Amino acid sequence: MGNLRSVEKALEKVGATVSVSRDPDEVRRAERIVLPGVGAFGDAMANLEKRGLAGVIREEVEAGKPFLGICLGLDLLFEESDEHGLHEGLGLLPGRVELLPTDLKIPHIGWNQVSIRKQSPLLAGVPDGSSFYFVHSYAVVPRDESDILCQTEYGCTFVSAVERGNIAAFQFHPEKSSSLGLTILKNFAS
Amino acid sequence: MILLPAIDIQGGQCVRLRRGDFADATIFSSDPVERARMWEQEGAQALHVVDLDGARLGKLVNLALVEEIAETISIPVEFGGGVRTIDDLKMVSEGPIDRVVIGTGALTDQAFLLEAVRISGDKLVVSVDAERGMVTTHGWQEKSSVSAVRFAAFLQQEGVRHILYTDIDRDGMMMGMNLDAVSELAREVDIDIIASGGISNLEDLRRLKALNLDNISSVIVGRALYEGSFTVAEARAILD
Repeated sequence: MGNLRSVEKALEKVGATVSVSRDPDEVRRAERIVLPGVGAFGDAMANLEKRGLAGVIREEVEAGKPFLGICLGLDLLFEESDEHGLHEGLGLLPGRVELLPTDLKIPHIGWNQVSIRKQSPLLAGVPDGSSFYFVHSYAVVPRDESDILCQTEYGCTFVSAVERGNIAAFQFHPEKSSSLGLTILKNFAS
Repeated sequence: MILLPAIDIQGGQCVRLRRGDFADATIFSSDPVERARMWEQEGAQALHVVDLDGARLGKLVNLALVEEIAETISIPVEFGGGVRTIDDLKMVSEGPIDRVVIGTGALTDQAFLLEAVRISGDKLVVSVDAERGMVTTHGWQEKSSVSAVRFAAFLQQEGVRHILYTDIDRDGMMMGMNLDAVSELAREVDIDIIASGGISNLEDLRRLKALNLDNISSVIVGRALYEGSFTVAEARAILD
């Protein structure tokens, strides 16, 4: 669970108090929720359901608790994914998750530029066109275009971040994206 | 193209070797973690970390220190040196390291290679260390009868996504990269190539970039950065 540890350390660097937990009650008590994750959509969703976390996350986010999703944590927000069979997601945002429609190599790994599509306090101090670190094969396709926060080109234009109210999520890894990544985490934590 | 500053660890210190000779080390820092932090602050977008003790002894030696580096900085870390078994790969993949490099085992043991691809997938990098076009093993100490190009084609066929190509005649010698060799390799295979060995000045980087070969995704620089031939920012101005 290397990704978890990196996210934890990065959040600590920007001054947050972090607790890594699989306990629904602890998630309920938290001031903010961060859902990182690397791996397969179906397995992750099954684990969230099994541990009673899916319901808690839905309830807390619908009640207005700030939520940050990273990579798979972005994908899981949506209604369904066709990653290795059709799987249902958290359904907090309308839309689905699909394989990147690109002729370039999949997974998309490395630094790539991000175009900012709307104003957000989370992106304060982040210039339009900045580069962030990506590792993914799938991308979200929001049904509601107003949820799109950022887009990125990779032989296709895909949605690299979404935001709606208290929900924000990034396809790239802020915790691996140097100072600008930390800026985003800091904006979220403060 | 991404610049990967190299951090080579020997005896807990950050060193550079010449031509991979463990006895010919120059110490550049006694604190690899701090050195890593400095590279990040100077604008590095990823780091390449090698456990030289691990490479020499054929087992993980300084993994805890490398993991400390990966946790301390907020850029991806590629790690190699002493990763020889499936258990090693599993151990590394459970931690914060983003990419893991294997060498010797991939050449001598196909079952190991296949299992490594299965376990580490996109995180796996196989190093192709060449001396006059032929692959070397065991921390560059033994020469094989397999050509670098043939080995790379085999790796691609087995599902490897990244190869790390090092020209060991050039490494640490500040005499420029062997561009003929690296471009031949990049034309033979489609997979991602990380080029290493011999970059000594900005002109070397310009020439590498000018090859205009998209699958050479990154370049490792060691001694030239440590000796101040150029800065991370100057390199990125060429490579970005």
